[in-house]
Amino acid sequence: MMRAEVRERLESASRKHSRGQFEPNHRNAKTVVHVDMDAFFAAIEERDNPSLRGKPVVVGGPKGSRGVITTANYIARSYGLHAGMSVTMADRLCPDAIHVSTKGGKYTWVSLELMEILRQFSPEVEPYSIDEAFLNATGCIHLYGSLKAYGEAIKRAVKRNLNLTASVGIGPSKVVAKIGSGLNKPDGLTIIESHEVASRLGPLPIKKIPGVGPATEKLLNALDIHTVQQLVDAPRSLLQMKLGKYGNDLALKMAGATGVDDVAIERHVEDKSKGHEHTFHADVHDKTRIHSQLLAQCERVCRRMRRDNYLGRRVTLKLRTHDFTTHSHQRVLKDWTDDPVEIYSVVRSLLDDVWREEDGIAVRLVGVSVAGLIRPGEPHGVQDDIFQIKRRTIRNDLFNAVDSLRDRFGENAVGLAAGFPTRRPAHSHIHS
Amino acid sequence: MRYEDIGDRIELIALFRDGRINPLKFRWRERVYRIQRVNGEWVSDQGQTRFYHFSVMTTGPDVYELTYNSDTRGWTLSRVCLVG
Repeated sequence: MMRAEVRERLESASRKHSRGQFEPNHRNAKTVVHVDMDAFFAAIEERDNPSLRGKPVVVGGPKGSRGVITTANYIARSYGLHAGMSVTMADRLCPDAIHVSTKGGKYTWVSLELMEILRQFSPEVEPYSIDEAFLNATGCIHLYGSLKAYGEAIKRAVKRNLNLTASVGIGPSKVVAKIGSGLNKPDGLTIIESHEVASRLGPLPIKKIPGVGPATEKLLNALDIHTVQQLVDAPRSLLQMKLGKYGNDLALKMAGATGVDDVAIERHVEDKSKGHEHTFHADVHDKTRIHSQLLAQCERVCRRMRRDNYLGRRVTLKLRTHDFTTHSHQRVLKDWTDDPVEIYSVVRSLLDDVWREEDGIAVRLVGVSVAGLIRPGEPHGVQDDIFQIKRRTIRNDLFNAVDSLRDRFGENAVGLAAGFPTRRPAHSHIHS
Repeated sequence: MRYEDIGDRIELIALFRDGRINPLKFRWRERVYRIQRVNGEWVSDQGQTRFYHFSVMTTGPDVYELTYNSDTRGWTLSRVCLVG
């Protein structure tokens, strides 16, 4: 489509779509709240050690290590440090930063406490990540008198119970609430009612919209859409054509529409994948060590799949070499499984495709993930292999026994022998 | 500021009330420390054993991490952050 034609359509749509065309907020208007903890991991460490306050603090791999930082507090961010940055780069940008090692269990516990607090404010709470959640506050606001009073009550409860601060965004949809919570950080409260969405968010670049990644941004930029306002004013038919229903709904939501949230607040969110990554302390050339590490990772991933009652089918191996070249290869299994031995055999074969010991290329990081998750017994359209069923039953009994031992005596109590040399890696992180 | 792992068993007086544990004072190496402030608390599990962790401060700026083992019902001074 020619640029001039696109512009003409945009202008035409701009005339047609006036702002504030949706119902103003009322007692039962759809209201979504997004709660986002401020620099969560770093804030917990500062809370537990007040001498860290007022200093640049990062949580992640130790100083001088090869890991990455998972959180930087706001002072460290002013030096350009951010989550995902390598420790080496962080050291270079801010040599005085205090590095605190990640304590996953501690943050998970505080996150669980946070979700319990939020459930006092709405029966529908959707944990979005370890430090973020959406609340469906529809019908709850009148209990507090106003949106402001509701938001402030949440912030007070978080502060009182956890001694941490949260930024809260309130809007007519999840996407608006999430943008709102990010507008006034830290310790902020942003309320965007449906009739003011376009005017408040209009000037923002489209990349600020959650879910608009580089690919969507590029596609919209090609249509001469750079800001939220331009998105709102764009012809719906054009957005529908280029982005499908998602594009149309996105424009409606950014215009302040209520009731178009394609994803309702879910009390329980299904996982899409289970995975585990590990950065070696020093680059590794030894194939046996890499195999051992991968087996241990397969066991961890499968244990979490069994615990959460999932079977998976799409196995991905991630491998990063010493020069930061990252390879990611995947294979789809014939059948769904949670058996670490089956998954490990695929991972080994994927490793052989991307890396050979004799080439002498050192490995920095390995990761294993399993996607295409289903629940056992869920229809999946593929005929089960009846010859495998008996073998699987025996294996399942074995792994259930192993899980029971680990539940009782800890994660390192028992495991496959070949995975033991590298069990409990120091710089590992899990994702789901 | 530096962290030191300790791992010493300690004697501790705590108030167990309303499902919460509130540590009040502890004895470590023949000296009694009165807890002035609990900075934060969290829980970890190892098998069926649950550990309750407390970050506390006494009269000085140092931070003490105390751990209660629900299996042995004993207290440990896990580590100290020495400030200054």
